[in-house]
Amino acid sequence: MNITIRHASETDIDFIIEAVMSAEACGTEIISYCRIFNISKTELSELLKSIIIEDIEGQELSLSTFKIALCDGERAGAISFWIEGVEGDSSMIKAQILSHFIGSERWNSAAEKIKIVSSTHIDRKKNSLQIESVYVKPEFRGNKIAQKIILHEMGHLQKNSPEICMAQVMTMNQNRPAIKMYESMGFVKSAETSSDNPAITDILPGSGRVMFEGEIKSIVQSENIYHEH
Amino acid sequence: MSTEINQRLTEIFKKVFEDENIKITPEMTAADVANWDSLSHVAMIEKVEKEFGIKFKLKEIISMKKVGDLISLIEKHRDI
Repeated sequence: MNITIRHASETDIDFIIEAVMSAEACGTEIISYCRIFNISKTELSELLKSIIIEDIEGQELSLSTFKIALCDGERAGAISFWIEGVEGDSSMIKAQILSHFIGSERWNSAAEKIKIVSSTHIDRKKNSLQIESVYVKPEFRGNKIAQKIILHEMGHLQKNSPEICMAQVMTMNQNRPAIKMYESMGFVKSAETSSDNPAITDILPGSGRVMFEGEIKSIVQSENIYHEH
Repeated sequence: MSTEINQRLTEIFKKVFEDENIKITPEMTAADVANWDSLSHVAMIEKVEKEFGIKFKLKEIISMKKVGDLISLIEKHRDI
C-alpha cells in the first residue's frame, strides 16, 4: 500500500468535513456541534464548509491546517495541525468563528450548553504543536495511517521550526482506541477534566476530556527505533 | 486612549466579566481577567458592537490580541 501525505486543498473539503464530524463523534452518534446548536448533520456540514473555506488559521477548522493521507491515491485520513498561540488563543478564535457563522441568536440560545461544554475545557500549551480532528476512513484503519500523518508533521516541524518542542492532542475520556494510540506513540496524559452535570453526555460523546502531550523529538525517535526493529 | 471609550468599555467589562473593580488598560489581555473565556469574549464583543453602534469584521475580531487593539478598532469604526 503506497501512502502519501500532502497539504489539504479545496478539493478535499467534503473529506475534511467527514473527518471533523467523525472525529467529533469519537465512534458514537453524538456530534457536539449538532447537539449544542440544535442543527442537523446537513446544516452542520454547510456550516463547516463555510468556516473551513474561510481558512482562519490558529484553530482546527481551517483548510490550511489539514494534512491529507492518500492510500494508493485514495483519501484515507486527515488531521488538523496548528501551533497554539501564534494567532491567539485557539478556543477564543474558534468561539468567534462559530458565533459569527452560526449567528448571534443561535449562539446565545446555546449559551447554557456551551457553558456545560466549557466546564470540560483544557488550556492548550502556547507554542506547542496541536493535533486535532484525527480521522482515518474505516476501511483504511489498522495501517497506522494516523501515526504516519502525525510523524510526518513532526518531522516537518523538526526541520523547519525546531523551536517547537512539544505536541498536544486532546480527546474524549471514553475514546479508548485514540487513547491507546497516543500512549503507544509515547504521549503521556497531562490533564483531565470531567463534568458532573448529567446533561454533558447528551452534548458530548463522553463526560470529559483528556489531554495528552509528548516531546516531539522523543516521539519521532522512538517511532524510528520501532520501525528499525 | 479616549476617556469616553474607556468609560463605556469599563462598564461593559464590569458586567460581562462580573468584576465591579475591573480597570482596563491597553495592555490587558484575556489572561489578566478571571472570567474572560471564549463564551464571555463573544458576549463582550456583541455588547461592544451594540454600545458603539458598530459591526466588526470577523478578521478584525480575531486579530484583537489586547484591549488596546479593541479600542483602536472602535476608534477606527467610529471614524468611518
